[in-house]
Amino acid sequence: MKKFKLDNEPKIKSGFKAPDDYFSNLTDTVLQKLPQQETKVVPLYRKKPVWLSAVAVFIMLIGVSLFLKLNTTTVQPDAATIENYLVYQSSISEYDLYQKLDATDIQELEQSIAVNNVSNEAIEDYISTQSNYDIYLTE
Amino acid sequence: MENEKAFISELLNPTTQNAAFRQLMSQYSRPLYSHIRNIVIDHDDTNDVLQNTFIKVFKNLPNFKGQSKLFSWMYRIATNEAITFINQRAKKSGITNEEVQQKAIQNLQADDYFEGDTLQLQLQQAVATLPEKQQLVFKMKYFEDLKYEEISEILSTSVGALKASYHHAVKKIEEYINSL
Repeated sequence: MKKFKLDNEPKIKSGFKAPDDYFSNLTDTVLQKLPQQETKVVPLYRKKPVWLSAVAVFIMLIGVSLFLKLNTTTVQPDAATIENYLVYQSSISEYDLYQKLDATDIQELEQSIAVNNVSNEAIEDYISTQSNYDIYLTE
Repeated sequence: MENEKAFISELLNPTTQNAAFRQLMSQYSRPLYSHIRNIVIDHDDTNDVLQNTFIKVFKNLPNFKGQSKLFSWMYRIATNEAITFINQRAKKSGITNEEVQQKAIQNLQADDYFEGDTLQLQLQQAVATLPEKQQLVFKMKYFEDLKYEEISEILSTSVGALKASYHHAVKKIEEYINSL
């Protein structure tokens, strides 16, 4: 019997075959099994719009609170109003008032009284122009 | 190579992906089927491995660096999938890889999707007696008509080593058939 030599033989095929419609169905079968494109999950903190809106809200809050604060600042009453109030409206007696005064307050009060700053000449001038200055002289 | 780059970007682009993948499958289904079938022998097993191969190709496309050709990269995945399949089958049955293949060859005569004659069956039996690497080289060179350069890229083995493996394989096959 002739010795078998692979190169001397006509090409031997593997002998495998696939079912007739195998390849036409394969593509669809595989495509169905492919993982769907997953939507990428981006953490909320990495989204630029979220950051921007958070900053915007923060700025707005500060703005609004500042606005409200400035608008509601109460107008401080002037000295005359306080005086009038104390005199006519309050129940504070004079005694109560000067109990609250300390040395500096008294000094300030003295300075504010014009009499101390008025020169003697001015006083004399004033008295001489008054018709009833005798009262001062006699007392 | 430029065409291949353009094709890969089509495969990665969600709008063109579907059509491109269909094209990829129509181009590679038959050669990859033959490649896997030559390793795992049974049609149904080949079908499982081939589907897994394409799914793996699809999943790993974003990581494909283009260092090798798409062709050899896909063949490499198919080869690994087929060998992994045999290893798993062997582990499950508690037998060796060689025994898994011998069993598959024994079932060939009853296989509806094997149309080989006696000589073709003897050749399959002879190939199944070879060490794994020699089997791979012989099947890729003889049955699949791949060039040594292509096999070299797929198996990451030098052309010289592949030629030597093929030469040894042919000798052993001839001895086996002559001994029958």
